[in-house]
Parts: sequence; structure tokens; C-alpha cells
Amino acid sequence: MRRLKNIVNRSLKWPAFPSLILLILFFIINVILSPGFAAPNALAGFLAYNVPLVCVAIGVAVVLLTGGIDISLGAQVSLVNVVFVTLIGLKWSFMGALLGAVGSALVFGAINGFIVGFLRVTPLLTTFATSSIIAGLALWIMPTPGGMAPENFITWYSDFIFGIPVPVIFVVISFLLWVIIKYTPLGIWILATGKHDMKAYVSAIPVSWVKFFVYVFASLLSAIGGIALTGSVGSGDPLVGLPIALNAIAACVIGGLSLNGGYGDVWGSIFGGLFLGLVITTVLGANIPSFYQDFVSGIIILFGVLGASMLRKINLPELNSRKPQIETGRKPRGMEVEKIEQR
Amino acid sequence: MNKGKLKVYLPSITASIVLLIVGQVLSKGFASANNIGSILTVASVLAIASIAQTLVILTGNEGIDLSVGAVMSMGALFGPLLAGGASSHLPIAFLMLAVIGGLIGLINGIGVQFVKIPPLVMTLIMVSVVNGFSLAYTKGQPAIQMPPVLLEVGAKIFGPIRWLLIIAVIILIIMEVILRKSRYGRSLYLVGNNRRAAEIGGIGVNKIVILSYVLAGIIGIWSGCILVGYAGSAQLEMAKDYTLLSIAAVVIGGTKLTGGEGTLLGGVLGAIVLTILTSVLVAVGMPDGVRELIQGLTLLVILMVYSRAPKLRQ
Repeated sequence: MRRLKNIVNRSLKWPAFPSLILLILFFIINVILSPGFAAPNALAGFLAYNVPLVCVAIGVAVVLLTGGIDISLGAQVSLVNVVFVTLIGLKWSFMGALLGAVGSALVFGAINGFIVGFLRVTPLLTTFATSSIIAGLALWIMPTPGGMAPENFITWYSDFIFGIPVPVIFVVISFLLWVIIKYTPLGIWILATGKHDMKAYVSAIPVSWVKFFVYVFASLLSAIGGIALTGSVGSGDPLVGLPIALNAIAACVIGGLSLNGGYGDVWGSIFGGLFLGLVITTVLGANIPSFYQDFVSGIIILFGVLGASMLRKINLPELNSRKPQIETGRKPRGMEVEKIEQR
Repeated sequence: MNKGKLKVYLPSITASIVLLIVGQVLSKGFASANNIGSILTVASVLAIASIAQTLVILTGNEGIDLSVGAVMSMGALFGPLLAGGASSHLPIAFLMLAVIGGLIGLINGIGVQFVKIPPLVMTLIMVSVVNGFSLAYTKGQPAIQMPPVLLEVGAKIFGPIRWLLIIAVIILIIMEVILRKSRYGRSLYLVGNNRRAAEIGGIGVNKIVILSYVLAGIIGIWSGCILVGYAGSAQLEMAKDYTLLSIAAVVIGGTKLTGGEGTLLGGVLGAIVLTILTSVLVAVGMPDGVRELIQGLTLLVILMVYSRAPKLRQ
């Protein structure tokens, strides 16, 4: 009995727990609304559509852990989609087009990382500016939607391997990439930077390089998401990724990651992303007139975030007491460092 | 006005002049009084939006309003609809718009202050709620009838000056006076500068922050209604670009994103710079994609020059 209580307590403290509950709740609602939803094929279709968002959300989650933010990932998804389809159209080999597309995203990830990490510009505005640059570039490369992804790639994407839908493999790869990092020193550095970058700096953590790395990493994941999206959409569209940018951040917040950095679990971003997808499926499945769908899904997401935030507040009073540190700004932190040095 | 303040405006004023000269070189007649007049008219809407954005950014603690564009789009759709195409109903329509916009701001403010949702996320979610509501209410059919008076905002009064510019200037003056003279205005700067100190000093921080979001909602929804008068017809999400443009304008104008420092005039000047830049790129005949690319690049350069945080070592 005591053991059970322990498990309950620990899972309640798990940052991703509220989003898992939300996800299960909406899954049940969906199955009730449309009983066919739990069938493997319907689930695979749902995943095929929502996997790009989940991949990008994992990338955003890692950036959020360092206390940064990246709103250019949606534009990067568009860029990957457009570059990939264009290169295929130019008769490049599949591998060549893939590498070219992923590379184009990584270049911008490196630019983001350099400006945020080494030039110390606010991440929100930096990635907003690069978002505009990337979106402009995508629009320049392909002014109107068109082109075709290779047909066998599209069929492969909606297929099963060993009974597992292919889109799931994209998420598993993305998550494994994070798990590998998590168990290297870099994983601890990322969390330390997010908790308190000044303390991380005096502990000889290369804060600038850590920040540089997470933006490149997020770009890699958004490239994976972009490739998945191309498999799901099947053609090129310069605007296709734009809604993903902000939805991925919303997914992370629902998943219990703190925007102040250093707190949260990447699992939460996966749950949050799937939850957002489920909300839209629920609204579609509930036969709500089309004009009201956006409003209803907006309201549900609003309450999802409200609920997740309130649950976190109840569970973690220490999170609230951490606030003043952030609000006092740089100067007092500098004094703190001096104290450490004096000792 | 003291010297320190002028220094803040210098980059945007210089940029405006340089861009005007570049425009004149690239296409004759760019710096004519007539063209400048129309640039200022277009800039007016962005300027009003940037005033709303400045109020929220000044509150500090990562305060930012990403719902400005959606609220403006809502104003553009609802203004003519509420007025029913009759000019005499416009004052009531504006009053009702203020209630709607204020309510949106109130929800934003409560979410940020009491539920402690980061402003970025709170206002972001508000975007889908507001856009969803606009779509649900209008059923995707924007009002066809425009109140004639509303359409007059784009009309010339004398020379190249149009009503829209006058409206923007009036709003700027009123808000500037409120910020400088009222209790709210002075508390706002204190709250943005150091929230703890403001709290200890007995200022109702919650009240000030929520009021900022409410004011931003009201100004935002009105500017949307004015925008539709200039554009002539309403569309769903017609003002969504204004969200990020207004943030860019505020930053170019020298307002600190950390809050507590900055002026409304700065944001207005930033709006003028951005509009001139767009006009130059249009005059040269750049395709859409390249235009967006250059806008982003410009903002990035400005950020790298003006918005760098101190080194961790210091």
C-alpha cells in the first residue's frame, strides 16, 4: 500500500504527468465519439498527420530546457519541405535531396545558435528574425505550392514496419537522439544552463556552446519533422510549417516544460503534441459545424494550458519561489558570483 | 526632451532618412511629399499597433502580446459588422469593440498574473481563440457594407496628409500623456523596471499589468477597425502580420524587451522605419519571399547591434 502511495506521489511530481492525463482523457473521448479511432489504421493515419509536430516539439523542448525559445522551427520545417521537393524535382538522388534539405535547416540552426549563444541576443527576437528570413527563403525557392515527393517515399511513410507505423519511427529516432544526449555530460549542462546560466558559467560549463548546440539540435529535429511532413503531405508548400512553430511551443507548455528553463521532461512535449492533435480530431469527430471548430479547439487548448499550469502550481511550490531570482535580473546575480569567488 | 532620449531615437531617424535616400536613388519620386504622405499613412496603423505592444512590453517579466494581430483582425471584421454599414452607429460600434478588446486583454492579463502562464504562451493561445471566435461569429463571411465615414480615414485632408495619420498622432499624444502624467503610467515603468521593488513599494502590480493588457486589447481592436477603413474590405486574419511587425517596431524604437524602459514615440518611429523599408523593397520590385528575407535580415542586424545582453563573465 505504501509502495503504491509512493508511486502515485512520484508520478504526481512528474512534470509530464498532467499532459499524460489529458492525453489519455482525450483518447478516451475520441474512442467514445468515433469507435473506429482505436483501429490500427485510423491510429496510423492520426500519427502520420501529427508526427511532424511531435518531432518539432521535442526540439523546442530541448531549447526550452536551456531557458531559450525557438520560433523559427516552423519556417525551418517549410524550408526542409520545399528544398527536399525542389531537389527531387531537379532529379537529385533521394539521399542527396535528403541531405541537402537537412543541411539547409542545420545552417539556420547554427546561425540561431551563434547569435543567441555567442552574441547574446534575446532568443525570442533572434528566432523571430531568422524565422522571417527562412520563410522568405522558402517562398523564394518555391513561390507557389507544387512539386511531388517521390512516390515510393509517400507510400513507405504511410506503411507499417513489423507492425509499427512508419511515422512512429520518426518520433522514436528523435527521442532517442535526445536520450543519448541526456546521458552524456551535455545533458546535465543543458539543464544547468537552464536553471541558472550564471552559476553554470562559474561551474566551468561552456554556456555559449551549450546554447549553440541546442539550436542546432532543434534544427535537426525540425528537419526530421519536415521530412515526415513531406511524407504526409506529398508535395511542396512554402507555408506548410508555419502553424507548427507556435503549436510546438504550446505543446511543450501543456507538457509541463517551464519557459524559464531548467525544468520539465521531454516526454511532456510528446504528450503535449499528441494532445493538440487529438483536440483537433475530437472537434472533427464531434460533428461540430465547421465554422465553430477553430473556436472550440482554441478554447480546449486554452483550458488545457490553464489546467496544466494550475496543476504544476499546486504540485511544486518551489517552482514559484524560484521566480524572484529571475525577476531581479542580472545585477544581483553578479553579486552572487562575486560572493562565490570571495569564498 | 533631454539628450539621452534623443539618442534612443537616433537609429530609427537615421535609418528612415537613409532608406528614403536609397529609395529615391532606386526609383525616382520615392521621396516626394506625396509618397512620403502615403508611407506615413500606411505606417499609422502599425504605429497604433506598436503603441499597444509597447504598453505590454513595458510591464516587463517577459511581457509580450502575440495576440495583437488576431485582435486587430477581429476589429477589422467586427467593426463594420457591429456598425451595420451605417455611419451613425460607429460610436456604439467602437464602444462595443472596446468592451470585446478589453475582455480579451483581461483574460490575457488574468492568465499571466494569476495563473502565471508565461505571456508568450498565454497570448499565443489567445490567438487561436480570437481567430476561432471571429470565424465562428462571421461564418467566414465578412461584412460587405462599410460605414462611409470609416472609409474616409484614407481620404486626404490637405496636401498629402490623411485622416489616418491624424488619428494615429492623436492616439499617440493621448497615450503619451497618460504614461507621463497618470499614476498608472508612472507605476507601469516602475513595475517593468523592478517588480519586487514595485510590490514592496505598495503598487498593485497585478492591477497595473492587467490594465496594460486591457488597454493593449482596446487599442489593438480599434486599430483593426481603422485598418479596415483604409483597406476598404475585411478578410479573415487580415492583420496577422502586425503581431510580429509591432514587436519589431518596438525593438527598433529602443524599448527594452525586459520592460520598464522605452517610449511610445520609439515604437512609432520603428513602425515608420519598417514601413519605409517595405515600400523601398516594393518599389524595387522584389518578389514576396525576398522582401520577407530582407526584412528579417534587417531586424537581425538591428538586434545584433542594439539588443545584446552583457557577458556572463561581468
